[in-house]
Amino acid sequence: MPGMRKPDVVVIGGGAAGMVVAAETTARGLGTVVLEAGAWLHPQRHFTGDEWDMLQPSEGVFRWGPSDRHAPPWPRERDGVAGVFQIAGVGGSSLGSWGASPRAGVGSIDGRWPMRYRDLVPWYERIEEALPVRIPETLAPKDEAFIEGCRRLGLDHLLGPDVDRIGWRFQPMSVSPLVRTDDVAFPAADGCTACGGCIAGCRSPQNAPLERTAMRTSASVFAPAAYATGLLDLRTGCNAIELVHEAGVDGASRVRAVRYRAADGRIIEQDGEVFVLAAGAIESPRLYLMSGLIDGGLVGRGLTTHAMDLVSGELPADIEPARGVVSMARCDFPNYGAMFSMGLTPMLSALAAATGTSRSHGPGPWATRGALVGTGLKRRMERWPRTLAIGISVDDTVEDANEVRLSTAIRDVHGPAPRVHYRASDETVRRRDWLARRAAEMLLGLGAEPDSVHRADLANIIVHAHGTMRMGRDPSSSVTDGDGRCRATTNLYCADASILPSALGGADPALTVQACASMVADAVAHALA
Amino acid sequence: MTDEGLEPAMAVLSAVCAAVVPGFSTDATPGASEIGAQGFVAHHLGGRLQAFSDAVLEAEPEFVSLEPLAQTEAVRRMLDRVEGMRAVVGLTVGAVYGSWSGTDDEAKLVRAPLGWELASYDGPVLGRRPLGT
Repeated sequence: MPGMRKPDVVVIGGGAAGMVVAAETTARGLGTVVLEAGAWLHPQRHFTGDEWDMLQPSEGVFRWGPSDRHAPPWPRERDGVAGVFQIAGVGGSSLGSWGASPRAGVGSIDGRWPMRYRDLVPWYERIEEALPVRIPETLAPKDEAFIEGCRRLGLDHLLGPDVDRIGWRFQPMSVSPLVRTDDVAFPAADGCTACGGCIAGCRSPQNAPLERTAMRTSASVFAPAAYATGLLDLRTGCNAIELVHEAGVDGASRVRAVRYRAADGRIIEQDGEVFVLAAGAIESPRLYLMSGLIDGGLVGRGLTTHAMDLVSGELPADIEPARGVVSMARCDFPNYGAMFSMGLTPMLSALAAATGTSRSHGPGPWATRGALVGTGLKRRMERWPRTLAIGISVDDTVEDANEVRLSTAIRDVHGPAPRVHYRASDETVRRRDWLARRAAEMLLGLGAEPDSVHRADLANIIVHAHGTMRMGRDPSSSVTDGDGRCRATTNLYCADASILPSALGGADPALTVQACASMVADAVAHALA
Repeated sequence: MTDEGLEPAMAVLSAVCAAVVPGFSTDATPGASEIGAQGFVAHHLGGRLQAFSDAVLEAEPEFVSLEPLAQTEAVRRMLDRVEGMRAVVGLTVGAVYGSWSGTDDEAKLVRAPLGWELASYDGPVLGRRPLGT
């Protein structure tokens, strides 16, 4: 019984990856403890639908901080980074996703990971079936416009999930099919109701039980599955502060327990046979470094992001930006990254327009770039119903100088805060600029008012973070092996975005994170067999 | 510092907010000033209001007395030079185009927020017209 004997597996972090690990280890009969810093939020009870209330970094429901929103958020030291978006809570970053679940580009894995793309396909298929991942049958007007833009650029329509050449696709989505009904309440409505509120947390259909929430996240799929086995001991409000270790064999360490601060403030040590880091690419290396485990100079290094940007323009007709899943169409450009349609509400649209930077290089076919304030912002927002926004996600290069380490200036109650340092490489900037020009060309090809085409040149807010405990074959350049096992230990694994050795070709990382977590869970189960 | 002591700082903040989303002083529709966005922003700045005001006036000593259009240009210049300016711009935009101006003291939405009216947005809903129709 959970809590009564030494568990087989202790997972640190109940987010997008951690709950996949827990679902798979409990399905194999392994007693599993999950320590999650946030709460287990229920969409019907805790999601308000108000995007400011949900997303505001210091006080929002989706913030990096204690579940008591009156308490201050957990700090980070940032260098070259305007912000870091993390969500504390069961499901983690999957809670604030918009359900985009593409696979990584084939070329972003082959030759760069310790396995080939095709070796990862079984785990992709496992997760795609479990969520499940679907292709939309009907598109919203904004996505139809995006696809027409792709056609006018002469781009191919790609079928199938493998991203191995340039082309556009319907977005693979971990969202239940759109219901065709005027009723928005479960059970009459049992699927997506096209409300467009994905980014602020899916709470559709109204009154749905957690497992029937339209957005298929680690919270609505894998957490309930793990819980149903009776072998899960999920502890929320628990912050891990140290991996207690001892000398193992052949110079490697062995983790004996994880020390954590419980919700009531007590310090508790939880022992186990195998430990799995799943706290994300910022917090997993932080905990590893705080614990004094063998570092080798690699832990925390090689941080990659997607250097996101946004290009928008006013089309000749209304496109109802707030209708439908946020992004239902995408176009991939191997070696550069990806573009995708984005349905932004006025607040998010205005924020993107008003808080841009001037960090990009060179001219492009846009009329304005960077921060838009004053009457220019107001006039733009008056035409919001006709504004098509195109998101850009860059295949970032791996630079060891980009890193997560321990801050020497800032501490929180758990220890040294993480220090996040990031500078986009010249190559990343070049790719970003190239993608932005393609996006602007698409908008102009759709008949957008030339004076309306605006490149936000977004400030560097890290939304997707990967690579800080990257896996590989060569011990001199990797922290974890191809099973996600930390080389310097015998029983510590890492299962989250930290292990991804590349930026996935610019693909949204959720599906790849979940697939890799499934792969690591298999390795953990094998090790315990 | 007392509220009276913060009045000059609030005047600077009000001018910044009005420059980000102008109202009737220069535009045909209301903006940040008409909904008192500076109060929302000041709440989120907390104890940093005076420091922000000082930083603005150090960068642009004549900021408060500039014409509105010149203030907008000055805000743009200060975005990467004045600590907190980018956050203040974001908070102002959040106040205008988010739900805040339509809520009561209990954060309940009781009327259409200004920004939603300006953008012809009907707000978050539980469902929209089925796709394909």
